[in-house]
Amino acid sequence: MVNTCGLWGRLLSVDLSSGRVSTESVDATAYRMYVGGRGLAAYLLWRELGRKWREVDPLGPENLLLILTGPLTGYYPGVKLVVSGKSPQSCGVIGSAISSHVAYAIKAAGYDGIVVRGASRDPVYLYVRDDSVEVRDASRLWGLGGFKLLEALRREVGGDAPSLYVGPAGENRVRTAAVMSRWFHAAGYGGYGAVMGSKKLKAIVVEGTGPLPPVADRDEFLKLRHEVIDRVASRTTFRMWGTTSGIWRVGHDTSSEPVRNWQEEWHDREEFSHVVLQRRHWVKNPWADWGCPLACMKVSRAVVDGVSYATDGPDYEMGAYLGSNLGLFEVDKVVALTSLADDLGLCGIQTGNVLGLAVELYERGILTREDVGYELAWGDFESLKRLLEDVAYRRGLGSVLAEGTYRAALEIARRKGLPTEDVLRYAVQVKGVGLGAHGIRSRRDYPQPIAYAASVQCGDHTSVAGLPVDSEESEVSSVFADSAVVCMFTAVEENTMLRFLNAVTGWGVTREELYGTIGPRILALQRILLLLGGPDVRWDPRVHDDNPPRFYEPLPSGPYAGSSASREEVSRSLAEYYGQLGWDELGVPTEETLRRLGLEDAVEVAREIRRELGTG
Amino acid sequence: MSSLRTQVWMLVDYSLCTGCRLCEIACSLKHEGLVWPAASRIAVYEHYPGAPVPHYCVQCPDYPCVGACPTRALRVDEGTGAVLVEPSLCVLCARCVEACPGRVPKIVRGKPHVLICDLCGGDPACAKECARAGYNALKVVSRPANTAVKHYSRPPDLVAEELGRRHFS
Amino acid sequence: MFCLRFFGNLAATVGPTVCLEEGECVDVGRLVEELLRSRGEALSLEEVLVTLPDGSPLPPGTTTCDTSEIRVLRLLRGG
Repeated sequence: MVNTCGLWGRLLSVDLSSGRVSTESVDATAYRMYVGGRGLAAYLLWRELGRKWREVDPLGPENLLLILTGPLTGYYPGVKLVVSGKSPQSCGVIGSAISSHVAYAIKAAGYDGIVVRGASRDPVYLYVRDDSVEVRDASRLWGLGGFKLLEALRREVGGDAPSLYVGPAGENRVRTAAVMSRWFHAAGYGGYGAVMGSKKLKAIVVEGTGPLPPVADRDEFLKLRHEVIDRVASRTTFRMWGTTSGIWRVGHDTSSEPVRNWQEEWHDREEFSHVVLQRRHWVKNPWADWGCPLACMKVSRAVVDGVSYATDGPDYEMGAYLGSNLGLFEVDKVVALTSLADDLGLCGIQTGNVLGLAVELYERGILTREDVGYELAWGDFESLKRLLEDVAYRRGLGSVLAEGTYRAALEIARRKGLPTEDVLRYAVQVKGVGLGAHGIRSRRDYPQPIAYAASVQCGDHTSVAGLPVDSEESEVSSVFADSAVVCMFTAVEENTMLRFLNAVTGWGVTREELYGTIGPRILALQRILLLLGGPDVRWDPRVHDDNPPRFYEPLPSGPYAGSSASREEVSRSLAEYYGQLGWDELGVPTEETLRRLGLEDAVEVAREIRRELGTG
Repeated sequence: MSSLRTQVWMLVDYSLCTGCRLCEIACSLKHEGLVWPAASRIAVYEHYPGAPVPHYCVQCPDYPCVGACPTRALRVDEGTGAVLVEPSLCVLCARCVEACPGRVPKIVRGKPHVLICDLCGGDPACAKECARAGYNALKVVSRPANTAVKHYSRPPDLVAEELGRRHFS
Repeated sequence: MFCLRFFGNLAATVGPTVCLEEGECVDVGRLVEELLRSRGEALSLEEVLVTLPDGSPLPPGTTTCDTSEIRVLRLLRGG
């Protein structure tokens, strides 16, 4: 057992190839170095798969599916867990955070996380109730969409047991498939729905009936807990509209919302707003996840063509990616597409991104009616719905798009006999990961010019890189949230968060240690695994540490028309960013940095990467 | 009869409940000193999105649980009207659970007796936490002197079906 | 002299440091909001993080007489 409060020091370990269930311990030093969640994922993956990383097929049985909590899970208001493994999108490690009741349930069951190895031959689901763990037959559940699955699971296990699951998209190994929870929640970045599906694992149901582990300083914990609740509960506007208000504001005010595959980032469509959703579609507001004093969610309902749809929000990302990015500004139909994505288990961001690419390629005549099987047009709900379903079921062109934006662009170029750049110029992605719905061209939103180019999670808008690296602008800030595992929307300034972490764990982590050692350590390890990549793609920093070409085109409309990313500024900022983190000119952590961070065992691999890049 | 008038009672407004379960956390912190959702005396069930069901003892006027207890482990607190459990007498026979129209008393691994809401002596921690977050779904009132209160006590599955139907008929 | 240090894109648009000569004690929150608005930043106080120079939270009701410098960063990054 680990000598740390707030954690159990053990993970539940399941090998689906053999059906063997066991527990494995994580020692206190590893936690102190990597915190938990995303940091722990990087550590576990490096330790187990690091030597053969390039050969590991993310959709093969040798990959790990990690479901990890962190020391703040269940204590800090706002609960999340991190899904990870080798990503079928970036071929690196992505800590994919998801709001789920499974997070606290894992801890209440006596574990800090779940490690799934191997792959089952037949569909199964994992049922955990404290010490009792069963790998159960899921043949009757295989093929079900999320909504029907949750009803079936409730009948099967009884009560209200929380679960993580995949829809048909994950079963079909779609690289834009998410690990889902609670009807509408998705761990989308990374493509771990495909990993779960490749293991023939339909769901993970967790009931925890015990207490969470004790905390180090109970009085301080109770005091800070109320302090944070009071502060977060005062975010009145955010509670009222959640992130949904972004579908109007991020477009109209800050010109950073994807419109028609990012051809524009501004709109003035008043019918496409949070208040229209509020008036016409929200049946529950506010709505919250476990232990959350913010309640940014809203349940919406819409009837389109006689069919009833339900979803959450849609929140900003869904609204932007399944709405404006597809030229769809009718909110009832955006509710419908979002609800379909939820049910099919598709990441709305990645799927909306690749759908936007497809419609633009169709518009430009690169894709034709013969390729698709039907006509595609911006804002055409019927064909967009059909294409979304084709992706989830890998039908026709959908099977190409199911590979995600980057791989789909390469394949379409190959089939059309075009130079890859001619298709990649419309692909709004970085290193295999479609970008979140926050552009950089206007400079009025939060992501900096190197936000995606330098991020170890690539297109992940919740893990953007920024300068200076020792401030909350840094990706270290996301590393902290994803490793302590808290929700970024209930987070407050880091000093208070660190006091909270120390009250729970007794670690005494300082701001200097977070920004100087812990954060850079996790970033360095993620960076090395990302640069290793493989087996199907590899990244060259000189080519791939960059924005999508579209971001160098000037914005065509809105108050910031004419603005674009500057190549000169991007390369200058990248150099500065690498320098501040102790990485070399191509962004490979130097030997000195690795030793300073306690990553001696990565020195040889980093040397190898430098040699291959011709700089070592 | 004067004590009856001072007895407190807890109303729930389903439409205001966000399903956040801060009430469960507050209850377990108060009674167990730990975050222990399963040991909370109040539980929130949510079978349909946006239709959470807070579920707790409503202090039925005829207290069927107290009458059903073979070991006299349950008694009514004169001050608050809450059902109090005497841990040393409870044998976890579950007769109270069967007698309860809402199947409210909880039997939880690690607790040697049933768990029933004690109204925190008249100042329930769950309702305070709910108000603190600004949700105000739980409201502490004087106990109504009529039998209407018992109608609240229904198994959560049944309540969830009824609430869910409102959103998703 | 009261100085506001901006970070990230706010530093790029508003400027890394803005110093003001305040004759009287002004509520820091209100000052930040007015300054952002005057620079065309569509942000409310709910969306920015205002801290003391060491990164610690600003006590409620802090005025320009209580501290000579603050940090202003974007909050709710993501979403």
